[in-house]
Amino acid sequence: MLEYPPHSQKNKIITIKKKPFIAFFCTYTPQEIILASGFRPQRVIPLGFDPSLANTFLDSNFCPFVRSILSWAIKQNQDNAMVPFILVNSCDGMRRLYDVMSYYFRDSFIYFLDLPRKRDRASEELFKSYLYDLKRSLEDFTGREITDEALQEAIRESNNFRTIFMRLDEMRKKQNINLSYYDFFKLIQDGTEGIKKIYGLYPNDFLIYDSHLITNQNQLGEKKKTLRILLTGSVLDNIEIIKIIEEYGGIIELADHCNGWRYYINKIDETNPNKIDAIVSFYLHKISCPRMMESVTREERLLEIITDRKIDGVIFYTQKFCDVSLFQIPLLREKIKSLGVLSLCLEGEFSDNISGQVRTRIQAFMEAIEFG
Amino acid sequence: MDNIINSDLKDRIILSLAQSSFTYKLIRKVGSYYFRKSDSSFLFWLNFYTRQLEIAYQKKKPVVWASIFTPSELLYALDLIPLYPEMISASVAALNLAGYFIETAESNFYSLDLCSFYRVASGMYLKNCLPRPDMVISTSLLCDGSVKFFQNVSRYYGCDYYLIDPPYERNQGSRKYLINELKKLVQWISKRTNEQFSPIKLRKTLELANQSTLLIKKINQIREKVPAPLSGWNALAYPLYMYFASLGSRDGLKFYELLAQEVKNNAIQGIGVVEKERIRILWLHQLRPYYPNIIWQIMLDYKAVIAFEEISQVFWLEYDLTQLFSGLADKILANPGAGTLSRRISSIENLIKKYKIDGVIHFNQRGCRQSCGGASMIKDYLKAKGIPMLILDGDGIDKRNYSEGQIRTRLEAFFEILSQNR
Repeated sequence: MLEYPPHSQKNKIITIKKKPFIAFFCTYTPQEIILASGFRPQRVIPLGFDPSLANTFLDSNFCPFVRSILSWAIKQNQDNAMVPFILVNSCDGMRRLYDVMSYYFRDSFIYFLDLPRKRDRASEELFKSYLYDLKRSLEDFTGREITDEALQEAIRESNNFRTIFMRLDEMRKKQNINLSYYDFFKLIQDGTEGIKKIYGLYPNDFLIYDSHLITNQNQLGEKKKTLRILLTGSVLDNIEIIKIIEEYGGIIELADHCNGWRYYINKIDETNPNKIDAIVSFYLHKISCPRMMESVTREERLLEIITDRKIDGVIFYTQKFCDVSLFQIPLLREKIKSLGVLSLCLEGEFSDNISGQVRTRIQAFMEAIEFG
Repeated sequence: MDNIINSDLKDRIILSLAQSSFTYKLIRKVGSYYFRKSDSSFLFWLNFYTRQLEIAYQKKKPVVWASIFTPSELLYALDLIPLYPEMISASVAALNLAGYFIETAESNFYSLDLCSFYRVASGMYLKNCLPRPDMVISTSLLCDGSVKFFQNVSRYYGCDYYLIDPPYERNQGSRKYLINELKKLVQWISKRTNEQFSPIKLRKTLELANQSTLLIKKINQIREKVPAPLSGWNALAYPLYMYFASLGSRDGLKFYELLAQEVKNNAIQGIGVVEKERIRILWLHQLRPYYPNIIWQIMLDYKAVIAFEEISQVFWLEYDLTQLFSGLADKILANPGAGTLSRRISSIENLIKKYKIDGVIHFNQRGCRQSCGGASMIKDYLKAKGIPMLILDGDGIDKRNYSEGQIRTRLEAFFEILSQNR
């Protein structure tokens, strides 16, 4: 397991972490605008905050991610932390979450960003108007103008961060490094918590030379026959699931969750003179979430990955009650089956513990691939 | 082996019955006789519904599968036959056939956490028990699942899909965007049917829709009377189908003329839904269980009546016949379920006053996130106003989520409280 960051960088990270932050939850939140406003965008994936604590406000048949966010927000509120939030109109759950939060946390800055499902010209224009409105609201909130220079800098910083992971992913694919996916995912996770700048400072060290970051070949022991697994779904809550798969002899090639592959695989056009246009184009045209109309393209990419990376098995790991993901499974599973690849469906519940049942199912699945 | 044969035979029987236009003709004839003593409006609906399915199977017109919030006025103006899978699921449940299709969907990886209306509809298309669509149109209004369901349908049948994606906010920018979306939709349909769009036809359908809407308003006004002249329980059945599927058609107008007359007659004669009405209920959410259940019976026992249901309200303005698309866009944006929950709460508050409501029941359809997600907040709000509300968990279609004992206990306790409050 990795031990990072290197000691020399620790203080810098702590300093940046102390910077005031704006919490966001959906990958469609334009973090570059938050960054340019002087805040640290912090994506909150509140594992460990019992979703059932939110059942008083939201129905129990509701996405555990959304309920966990509410539990987390309640805790912040109890601690008198006036956390500013940006929510995105990404699903029915988020809409209701916004209703609850704006009703019960009236004193906080809570912004609700609408998001078109389509990406034609008219939808781009619409989204652009929303982003300008967000920019204005942040300027009012901070009392500071968001300049084009600040946006450009924020875009560069985000792109640098994404580039690192694209390169790492490529190196993993070519087996140039022996970095476990657990460690890889943990790096992304920490980066999305708002310490991107640090990664941007020393990408080369980070990628190649830093022995702390690259798992030593000896740590993993002798190479044995491993099963290549593609993990797919909405948001990956508990990365212990990766460890379990790896324990049972699998190697995660890719987790295409919104906090995984889909987070770093596209970049913003830095040459576009209109920074908001560039951000609009990035968010509406990136590999999309199942909620979007273009989610079919994502499925096609996944099928390519299965062939390209010689995937042995696919594990769907989606959040329980996530309708848009659940609707995507039937057709995608059929297509995966037609490639002769087995698949397994698991549901996330934002729980600290991975249940024994899930472990058994993963083990059985691995055996089925190995001996099937 | 016996089971396999039986299952295969059952499949074949259901498939051959469902796919034959003659079946719907037969249902119409037999139904008209069997239900001859029923209300004229019901018989009219039966005729309308079965005829649409019959025409769809005969392929006399292009068939479009549409979501319930897709403006039917546009579809009639373009001479399409609209089918509403969500509504068909309800009628399948009423015939006690939902389980068969749910099983089919679930064995094809449709999760049981998905809304049962879509699971039944998915099972139906997977079994080829519905007329094949030439195109698919839906809106993203209120429901995420709807968008993905219709997208799956279009992929399954290999036909094109158009999504009307209304913005969250109700303002001029949203209105402009939506008007353009609807204009594009018309061009999109024309291209696929090779039929020129006729503004005159659209004007005519909007005029018909205006006339129907006027009648719905009239019905709703009469329903303010005590005792309730129309059962909300019934209003959530076939009139609801017509509410979504008939606006803009001549049949729709005829249906509402009949229904208005029936409601008016009841009101004039002082005929209420229950004798000695004691409790007036506002029913929240747009559906109820469609399979045999005890809710209605318990209500009768307590002399309770659904005086009104939130879905039946007219929240849109009369269409301006000189601005063909703006009224349709306004209607979509005006839906009280869209936007913030405060819009829905405000409309509920109006209904409570208007219909002299004693208590509110929120039917929590398992799998419906947008509606159930707001139930607790609505309850909190109404509690502060002194209005009792019951959140009744259940399922409109999937009987497995129906617990008779639990529903009885909760309803009886609620009605006891309401009786004491009087």
